Amino acid sequence: MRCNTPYESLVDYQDCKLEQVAADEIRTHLGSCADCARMVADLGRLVPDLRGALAMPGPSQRAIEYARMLPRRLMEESRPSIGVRIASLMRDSRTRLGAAGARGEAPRAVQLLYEADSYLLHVWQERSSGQNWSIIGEALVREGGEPALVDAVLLTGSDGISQAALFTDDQFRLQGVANGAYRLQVSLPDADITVPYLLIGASD
Amino acid sequence: MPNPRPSDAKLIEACLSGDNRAWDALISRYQRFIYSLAHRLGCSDADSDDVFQVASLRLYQHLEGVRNQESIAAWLATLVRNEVYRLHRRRSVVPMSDLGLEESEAAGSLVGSREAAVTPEQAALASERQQMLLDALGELKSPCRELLSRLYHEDSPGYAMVAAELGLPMGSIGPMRARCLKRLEKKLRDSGY
Ligand SMILES: [Zn+2]
Repeated sequence: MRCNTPYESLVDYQDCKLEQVAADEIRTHLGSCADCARMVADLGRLVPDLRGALAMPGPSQRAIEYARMLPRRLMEESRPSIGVRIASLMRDSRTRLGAAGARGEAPRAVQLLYEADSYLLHVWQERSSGQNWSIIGEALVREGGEPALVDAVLLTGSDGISQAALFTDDQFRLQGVANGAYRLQVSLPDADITVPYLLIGASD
Repeated sequence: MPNPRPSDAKLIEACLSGDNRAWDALISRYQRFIYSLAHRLGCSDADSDDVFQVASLRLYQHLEGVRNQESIAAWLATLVRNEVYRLHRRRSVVPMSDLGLEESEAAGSLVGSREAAVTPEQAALASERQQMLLDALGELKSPCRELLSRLYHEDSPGYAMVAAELGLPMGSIGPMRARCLKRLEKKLRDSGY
């Protein structure tokens, strides 16, 4: 036997929207109609779930904006003209004969010259105190030798800790750098130059 | 006639072909899922924001692989749990055991957890169920989608305002709500909710 109770009445009953008399009628009916009782029970789960889902908190507008802009930003970063160039070493004063005084004695200053595409990169190391070095560098446009505008310089040790360089005019400086192997990243407006293995201090 | 609500697979396909609007749609589909799961796992508002940003970056980077996943939600849930774990470990606030990455008695004692006695599995499951519900709601046609969203939202302005907003006669809201709930229930049953 099919029941004629409209679903709307069950919804209103479940939502406590019925007048007393109508609500009592439904309640009595539920005692004898398994179908309606099941539908009210289902609604009793669905409606709170729906309220819960609609109340789910969401990220801030700023975070959403960040997420939406990702494709555009990543596209810009991978623009072909911004490719990362690996610098190749042209000159290292430590390996030049007679440049570093007596054999076995660590030099007090080291000069390095790298090339990467249309740029030259000069890096000086000067011992400041004990095992610590000051690094001074500059990027030059290979053609003409004019200083290139450097945006940022990052020196990263083998422990993953990075130090950002300070700038004086066209030169960048890093202070208190300990002996060891580093990665140097130089950001120019149209290129990122990386020196993957920069040895500070002794040459061996 | 175009499907009003493209599937995840369709959206990802479109994202991969460079369609930024598809990416927007994908983000808006999953933003609350990602954020609220991080929240459930004990993150503050600001940390949940961070987790959401990292998760969206990872999603974008892995679209190719995610395309073949049966459920983006499950994939994202794992990602979010890992990110929350990483965040907590960096801060050393929550012991590893509390994030359910080790069996322990500590399950349910997430720092700042908004729901009592919640394990990470339960949190992910609850978020996935809510996402299923939002998905089913999103698949309903107009005006059901808007009607239910407005009526059952915590800040619902009530029948009269909703009727006015949606340009529907006041008297039609009650019966329509019942029909829409029935459709929603059927969709959920079909999707194994
Ligand atoms: Zn009945």
